[in-house]
Amino acid sequence: MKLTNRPRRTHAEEEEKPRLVSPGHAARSAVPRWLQGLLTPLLPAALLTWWVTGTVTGSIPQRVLPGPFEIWEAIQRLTENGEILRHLRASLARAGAGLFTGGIAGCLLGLVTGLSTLGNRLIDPLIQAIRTIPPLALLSLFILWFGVGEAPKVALIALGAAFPLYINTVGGIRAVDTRLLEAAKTYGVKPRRRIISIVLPQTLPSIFSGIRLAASISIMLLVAAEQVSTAGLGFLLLQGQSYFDTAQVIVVLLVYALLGMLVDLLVRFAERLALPWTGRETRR
Amino acid sequence: MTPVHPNSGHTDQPVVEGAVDPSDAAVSLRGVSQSFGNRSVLDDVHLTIPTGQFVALLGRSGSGKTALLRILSGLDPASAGEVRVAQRRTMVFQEPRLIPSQRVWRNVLLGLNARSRRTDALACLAEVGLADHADDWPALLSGGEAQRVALARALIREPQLLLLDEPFAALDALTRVSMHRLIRRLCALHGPATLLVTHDVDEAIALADRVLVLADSRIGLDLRLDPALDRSQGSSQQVAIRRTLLHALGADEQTDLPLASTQTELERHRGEPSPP
Repeated sequence: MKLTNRPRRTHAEEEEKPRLVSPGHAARSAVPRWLQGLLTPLLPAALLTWWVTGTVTGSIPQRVLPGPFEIWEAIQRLTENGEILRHLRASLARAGAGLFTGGIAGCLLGLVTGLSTLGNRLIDPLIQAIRTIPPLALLSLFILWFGVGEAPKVALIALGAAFPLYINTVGGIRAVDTRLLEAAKTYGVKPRRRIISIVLPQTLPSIFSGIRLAASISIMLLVAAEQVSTAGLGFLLLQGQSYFDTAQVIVVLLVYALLGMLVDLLVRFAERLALPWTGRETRR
Repeated sequence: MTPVHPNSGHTDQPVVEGAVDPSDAAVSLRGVSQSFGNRSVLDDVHLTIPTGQFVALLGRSGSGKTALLRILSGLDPASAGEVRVAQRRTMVFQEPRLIPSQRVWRNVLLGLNARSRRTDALACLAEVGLADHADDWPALLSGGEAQRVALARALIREPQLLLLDEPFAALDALTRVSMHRLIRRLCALHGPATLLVTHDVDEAIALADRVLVLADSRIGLDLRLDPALDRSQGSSQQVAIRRTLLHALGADEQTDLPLASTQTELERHRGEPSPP
C-alpha cells in the first residue's frame, strides 16, 4: 500500500478526489507581487545610501569615491561654458564617422560574401583572419600610418564597427527562408528581384542587431582612440585621471552610460520604423 | 496552348527544344524518371493531363508525389524522359510561403510585371473572401487565410496549370472543408488543369475528375471519376472508390473489424480502477 513517495499523507486525504490546480501554479513565484515591485529598486537604493552616508561621514576617502556634492560641482564645472558639450560633439563626430564608414563597409562586404559563392571564397577568409586581431592593438599601427589627427581614431572605430555588421549581414542572408525563394522562383521572379524583395528585407533584422552591436563597440573604442587627443570624452577621462580628479572621471563615465543607452534606444526606434512587419501588433 | 519545357522562361536554364505535343494538354510526360543518389523515386512515368481537368495524385509519403510536382513546376530537372508543361503555371505549397515583409495585396501580385495593379489584387482577394485583409501583414493572418492568399496569388496569373502540393494538409478539418468548396468553385470558374498532390483519399474523391495513385515509383492506378458520382462521404459509390484507392495504395481497410467490441473494450479499460 505504501508505494507513494509521500508517506505523510493520511488515509483520508488519499481517498479524496485529485485537487484541481491552476495550470500556471508551479511556475508562479512564491514572492507576492507587491513585494517583487519593491525588490527591484532595493539594491540600487542600498548602494546609493551607502555612497551618500559613506562620503558625507568621510568613511569613504575622496580619492576613492567623491560624494554627491563633489560630483555636482564637477558637473557644473564641465557644463558651464559648454565645455562638456564640445568634448561630446568631438566624440560623437568620431564615433558617428567611424560607425558610418565601417558599418557601410562591413555591410557591403557581408552582402558580397552572403550573395555570391565567389565573394565568399575571396573575402571571408581574409576578414576572419583580420577579425582575430584586437582593434586596440592596431591603434599603434594606425598612429604610425595616419599620424595623430582624426584619421587613426576614425579608422579604429570604423574597423571595430565593420566586423559585427559583416558577420550579421552574412548570417542574416544565410538564414533567409529558402522556401520563400523557391516559391518566388516558381512565380517567375528574377534573381535580382528575389534579392531585393525577399533576401534583403529578411536580412534587415539581423543587420539592425549588427548596428546595435557596432554602435556600442564604437562608443567603447572612443575611450581608447581618444587617448591621444585634445578633445573628446576619452581626453576628459584621461585628464581627470592625471589630475587625480575622481569626480570628473565619474561624470565622464556617467556620460558614456547615458550615451550608450540613448544610442541603443535610437537604433531600436529606427528598427521599428524600418521593419513594420515584425512589430508585436502584427503577430497573432 | 503549346506545352513547353518546364525550365523555360521562369528559371535560369535555357529552353530545351523537343517534340511539341500536338494535343491540347497542359501536361505531357513521357518516360520520366527521377532519382536522388541511387534512390529512384520516379520510374518511367507517362502522363497526359488535358486542359481543365482536375487530377488528384495520391501516394504514400516518399512515393515521389512531391518529386513529380517539383519537376512539373520547373524547380527540379528530371533525371530522364520528356517533360512538357503549359507555360503559365502556378503552385500552391503545403505552407503559404507568403513574403512577410510585403502586405497581403503585394504578395498576391508576386512575380507579375509592374503594370499589374492593386485593383487586380483586390478583385482576386475578393474571390477568396479576403478583400478586407488586403493591407494586412501576412503574420496577421490565420493559417487558413494565409493559404487562401496563396491561392489568390496562384489564380491571379490565370494559370493553364495549377499545381497544388498538399495545400490543405496543415489546416484544421473545418477550414479544409471550406477550402475544398472554394477550390472546386474557383477551378471550375478559371478552368486550369489542376494537379492536386495529397495523401488524403477522401479529399481526392471529393475534388477530382481523375485520381492517380503513385506506388512503387510508377502510376499504379489511373481512375476517372464520373461527374455524376455521388461524392458524399459514406455513399455506396464513394465507399467503393475509396476501397479501390486504398487497395492501390497498399493500405487495405479491414472492413470486417468488429468496431463495436473494440469500443466496449475501451469502455471496460476506462471503468477499471487505476492502480494505487
